[in-house]
Amino acid sequence: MLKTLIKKQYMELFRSYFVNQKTGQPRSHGKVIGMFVLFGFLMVFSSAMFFLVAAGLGSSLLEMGLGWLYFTILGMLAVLFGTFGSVFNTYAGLYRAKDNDLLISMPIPPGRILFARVSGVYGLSLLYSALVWVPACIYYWAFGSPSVIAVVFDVLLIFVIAFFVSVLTCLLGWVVALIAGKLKNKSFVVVLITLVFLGLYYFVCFKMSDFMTSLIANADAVGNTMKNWFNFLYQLGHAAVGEVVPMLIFTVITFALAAICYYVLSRTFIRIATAKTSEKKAVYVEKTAKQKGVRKALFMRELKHFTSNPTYMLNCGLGVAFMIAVPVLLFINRTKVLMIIAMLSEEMPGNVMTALPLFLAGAMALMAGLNMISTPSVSLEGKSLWILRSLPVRTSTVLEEKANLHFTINEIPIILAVVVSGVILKLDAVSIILALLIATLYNLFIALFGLMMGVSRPNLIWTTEMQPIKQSTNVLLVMLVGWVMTAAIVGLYFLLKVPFSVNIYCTIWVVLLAVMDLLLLKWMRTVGVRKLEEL
Amino acid sequence: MLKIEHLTKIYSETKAVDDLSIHIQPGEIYGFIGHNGAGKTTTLKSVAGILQFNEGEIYIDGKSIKKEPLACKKITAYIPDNPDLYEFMTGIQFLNFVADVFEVPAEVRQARIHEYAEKLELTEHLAQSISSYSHGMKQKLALISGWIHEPKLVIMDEPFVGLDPKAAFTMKEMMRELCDRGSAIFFSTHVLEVAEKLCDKVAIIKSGQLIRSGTMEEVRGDESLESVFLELED
Repeated sequence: MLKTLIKKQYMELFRSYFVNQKTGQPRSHGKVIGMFVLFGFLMVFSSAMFFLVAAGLGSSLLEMGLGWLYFTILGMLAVLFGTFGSVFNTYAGLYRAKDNDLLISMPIPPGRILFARVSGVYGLSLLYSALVWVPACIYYWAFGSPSVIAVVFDVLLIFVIAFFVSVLTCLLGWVVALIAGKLKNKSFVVVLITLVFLGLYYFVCFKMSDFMTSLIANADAVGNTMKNWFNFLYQLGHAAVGEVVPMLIFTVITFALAAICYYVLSRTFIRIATAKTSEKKAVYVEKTAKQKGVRKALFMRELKHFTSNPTYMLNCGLGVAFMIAVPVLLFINRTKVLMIIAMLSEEMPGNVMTALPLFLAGAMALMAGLNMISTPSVSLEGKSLWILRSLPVRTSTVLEEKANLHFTINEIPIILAVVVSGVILKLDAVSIILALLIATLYNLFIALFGLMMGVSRPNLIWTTEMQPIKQSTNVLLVMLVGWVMTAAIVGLYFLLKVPFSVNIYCTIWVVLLAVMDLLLLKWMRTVGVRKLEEL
Repeated sequence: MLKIEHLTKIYSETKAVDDLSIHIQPGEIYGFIGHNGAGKTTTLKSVAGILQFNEGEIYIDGKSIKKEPLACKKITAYIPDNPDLYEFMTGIQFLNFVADVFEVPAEVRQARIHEYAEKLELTEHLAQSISSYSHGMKQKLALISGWIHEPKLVIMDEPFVGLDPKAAFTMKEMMRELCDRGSAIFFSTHVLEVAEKLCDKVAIIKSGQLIRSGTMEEVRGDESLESVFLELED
């Protein structure tokens, strides 16, 4: 029974690889292979980035004989990335799955349903944490001096670390579920709690990095401190270089934590999963509603969908929080930042400092690229797509308003961030305008490109909204293309050593982006409309 | 009001609807009967402009659904068998959304929402999230949203499924009243007794083909609709 449940859970995770989400028909062998090749490419690409990080750390630490520290830092990064990758899934995946009622009604012990759900969380945790841990191990095996037992432990730790990540994410999902059931406006509260958690987590990791830096400088002196205060990570580091006792300690503690976590979750699973809500019944007060135009009605519908779903907000709108945080942090640390800029200007004359507007535009693009509101919006229509298809609205208007929501939600913080940052960085008006234009057109590009992917490869058959939002190749592809685009905007300036001013370079990008946006808009109004109407 | 001419819809290699023609006049309640998978829902969805069809034409109030889909949809309401509504909205938000799209003036919509919600005993639930609604409540809400723009043609797929007897009675009253004002209703049903009592005309479809249609008297003759239906099915 458990095997069947776990199989079902993983079939949901990888359904899009085997079944055409549009037609519900199985994919041909060739297409399945193609999907996995694409998936593999994305994994290799992401791993390559972490390999570079591992190489940066490993080149000095491994030479100093501090392999354990190398693994401690990268282990921490793996936990961080794994948690970041799967944390948003747990609440929706564990407690809000559409088939919860069906499974609970069957003669299945609730603990097994939970186990199968948690196995899905584990799968994602494994995927994300391995993206960091595996390249770290490869670098160590290639350039360190690993023993056979170290290699064996490194491989085993891939799975143990994922357990630890699952514990963290499941506990957070549980806390969110407990609180969310008792609140009004729970979507925003869930988002807020998660953001606070992430903020704290990043803060701790940021401080941990400082600690690690000083540790490299005074390895012997702080070694004992590490052992005393960060014993768990210390054990991980030592386990990874092949020490048996730390391996046992790290593994036993992780499994003990996992067992406690599972026990706590299983005690409350049915109650939380079946609880409707403890919200007070809203009382209907009859009043004349203001009549809205069709476009506004469609826009408000999209906005309502976005703001009513914490999974959607967190996964596809997290960049907004960063975009708001950047100018605030820049303002708080403006004196320091200006001093660093002045220092860099003296030490690095030439195009690095003159490229500040480009950096600003690139930073905004990077953050805006984290937001993929339009990408899952077609899939999220799910079984209620009939409503839009039966209403007297143009399909192009529907698509435009989906893109419009994406654009609007990002554009307000973009304007705020670019203008405030530009003023703090003492950029001239033209530079600020160019940075703003690049960020704006890039924002529109992601909105339209995401929609193009969403309407071309929709998934209208899902058991939780998490599937089109999170477990979607579309989202990964759009993110990847966004990153490549951002790297191109900033990197080509230095790579090509352009002989003209940064303002001219920015203007060229403005034109390029505008052309791409127009082409995408044309595609959306023609092919996109046809594709949506055929669904 | 509705003219379906030689409608053919093919899924992969299967003909779901095969050369189907039906004409419905204003004021008529037209029942559509057939076994599971006979092609009823495909036909209704094609009329509602949700599905594209391979051959034939559909005219609503003289306008082609292919050539003027928006004009057709503007005067039509579609209520599916399993109303998957926007669970992220409350009942009243959904009704206002639909009313906005149909450009129903504020005062008019308020009066209609008041009237129909009272009739269907849904008023006190309108501020609740649709996600908390039962199937029957969703069906009632879909019904109100369909009636909110006073459509000339209503297409309903198994409208009585999930409704309690009182709501079913109210719905039949609403259907008759709407048709008395000149609209037409085309609906599918498995409940032959309802079809017999409510419909002015019926059509029986089997494997995508129309096998009998006309007034109730023409179709059933001296027998009951059930016996005619069962005979034709054999």
